[in-house]
Amino acid sequence: MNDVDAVKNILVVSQAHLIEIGLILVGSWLLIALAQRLLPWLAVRSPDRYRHVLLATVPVLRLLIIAAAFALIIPRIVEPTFENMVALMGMLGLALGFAFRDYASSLIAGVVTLYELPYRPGDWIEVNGAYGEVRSIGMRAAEIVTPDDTVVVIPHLKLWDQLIFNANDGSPNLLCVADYYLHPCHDAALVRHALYDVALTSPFLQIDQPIHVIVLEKPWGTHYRLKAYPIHPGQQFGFITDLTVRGKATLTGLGVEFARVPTIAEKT
Amino acid sequence: MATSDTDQKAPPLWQFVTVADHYLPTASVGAISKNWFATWRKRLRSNDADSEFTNKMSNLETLPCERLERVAPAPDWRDAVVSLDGALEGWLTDERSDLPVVFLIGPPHGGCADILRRWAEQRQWRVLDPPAPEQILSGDPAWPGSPMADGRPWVLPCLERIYLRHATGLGQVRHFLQQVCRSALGRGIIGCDSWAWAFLRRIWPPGRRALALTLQSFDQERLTVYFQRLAGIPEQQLLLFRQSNNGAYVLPPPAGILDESVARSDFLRRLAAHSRGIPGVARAIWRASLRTRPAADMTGETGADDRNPPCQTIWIAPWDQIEKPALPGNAGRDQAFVLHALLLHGGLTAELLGCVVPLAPHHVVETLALLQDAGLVEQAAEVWRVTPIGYPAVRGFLEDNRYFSDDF
Repeated sequence: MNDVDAVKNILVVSQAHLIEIGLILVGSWLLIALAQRLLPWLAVRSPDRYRHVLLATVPVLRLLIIAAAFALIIPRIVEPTFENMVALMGMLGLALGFAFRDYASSLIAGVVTLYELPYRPGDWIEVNGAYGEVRSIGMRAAEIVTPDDTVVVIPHLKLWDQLIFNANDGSPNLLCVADYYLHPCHDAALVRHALYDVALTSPFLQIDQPIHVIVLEKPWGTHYRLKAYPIHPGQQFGFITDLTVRGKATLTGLGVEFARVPTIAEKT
Repeated sequence: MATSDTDQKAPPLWQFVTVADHYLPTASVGAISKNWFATWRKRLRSNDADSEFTNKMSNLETLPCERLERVAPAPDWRDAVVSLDGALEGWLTDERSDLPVVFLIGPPHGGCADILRRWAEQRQWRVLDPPAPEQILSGDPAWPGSPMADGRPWVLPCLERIYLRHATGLGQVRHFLQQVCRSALGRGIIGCDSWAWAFLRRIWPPGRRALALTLQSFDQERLTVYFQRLAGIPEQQLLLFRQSNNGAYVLPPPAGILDESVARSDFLRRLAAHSRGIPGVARAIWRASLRTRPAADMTGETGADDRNPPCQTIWIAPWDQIEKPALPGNAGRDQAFVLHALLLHGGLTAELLGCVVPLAPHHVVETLALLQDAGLVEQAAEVWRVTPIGYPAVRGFLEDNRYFSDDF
């Protein structure tokens, strides 16, 4: 009985309040529905530069309407005494704590990244298959921009249990590798020297860093890996393209044949 | 006849030293700060800086071409050749075979190639012609022929002309340098541009078997003597060089005309630092600074002009008002590739430029046109080169973007 009386003391709901709560809910629903239909309709008919802004306001407006509805409903259900509010906030905090567990973990991981420096702006990192340049590091997550100009948001909590591959680790030196697959019958020493010169004569080359040519023999032929550093990490793709294009031209000029993979059509 | 005490104490104008003894002229801290702020102001204001310079220049008159050629003509290198002869005297008289070759390294517009050619003519040494681009790319073993056949020593004025930064363009220069190292070609002198030297050292470290000389940089004192001699002072004409905004003496005045109340300008010190002591670059900027009448704030001032003997006054535009080319604000990778290639090779045709940079031919032409409009490159006999007045800006741009550069 005491518990029931305690609940009755917290919840003060009269018939008038019920009607008001109903009106608030219906009104909120109508406002949300209106916003979800009106704003996209307006966005389609607006200039392009306003379209994304208008569409982005839909979830924000919905959240504000819901928050306002809660702010209007709560005082009609719960008598706003100090004890009642403490109990209510406690219940709310418990619920939010479970919900925001991962968020808090990311925030703490964000603090750890400040002194461990697994990545920093300007680094090229790969996490869970997403490779790109770190554009910014926020409180909860880091943003990277992939070579296809896609922004990927990576929560800092990935730091706890994921492998983070950092290609340049805060320095301007990022190793690039160009691969060549050649038919096994060729002069390997000649090819190795030729590929070295291909890298040495690239305008992208950071000349103070070493150039290496790795040769691996495979059952289908010979795999060459030309390793060198571009001047800027952002030029890595142009550098690899340049090495590949000029390398192929040079090897073709030497009469070297490239490895071929038989296709199904050829087999049949 | 001495014009002032400057000539009596002047260091040797043309001094050839080892590469390790070469030093760069320095500017004052104030000048360095002003230059730094001006550079960033130009970068942030992009093309607006050009209109600012144009407005300032319209109030001053430049020297007519004929007078410009009398006051600041091209040097004839006679004194430089004498100095080079003196620097090589020890090596020429020593017949030891462990130093068969001497390298003469010079920055762009430093004149080392011209000096070497004049020296070879004077000494009647054989001058090797560079191979054709097709020979370079094919690694033609016929070049350079057989200089030993007639037993004459030889001179190669431009080593940068026998290679191309292309996958198949290094074979000939490697083969040539290996022959030099083995003393297979006899005694010779090789001239090389400093940018090409910076690259070729990576593929052929010279080690101890090569003596490398260079022309000492032109600091403020050397520039004073250099410009006086170019102007024919005092033998041919009496000229007074004064800064147009404050009347300060830029060059020491002729004897008997010195006015102690007139200050000395630091223009030549700033010029020496900005041009990195390269005489060709300094001369180009000097010519751009010469004016025939002063700025408005100098009107009515009298001074040494009124004294006897009569002499002509050449006004020098203040340093901040001299139009010095700068890279466009949006200059990026493509411009850097083209400029770097031109410096590494001492100039290239548009066709060869397309072979050494990963740009389409039409893109090369567009980039060259853009750089030409900015006053950074010029074309002569189909060969594109970095302009002497634009060289400091180009070098700074490439250094800021981490492209490897020379040591001069």
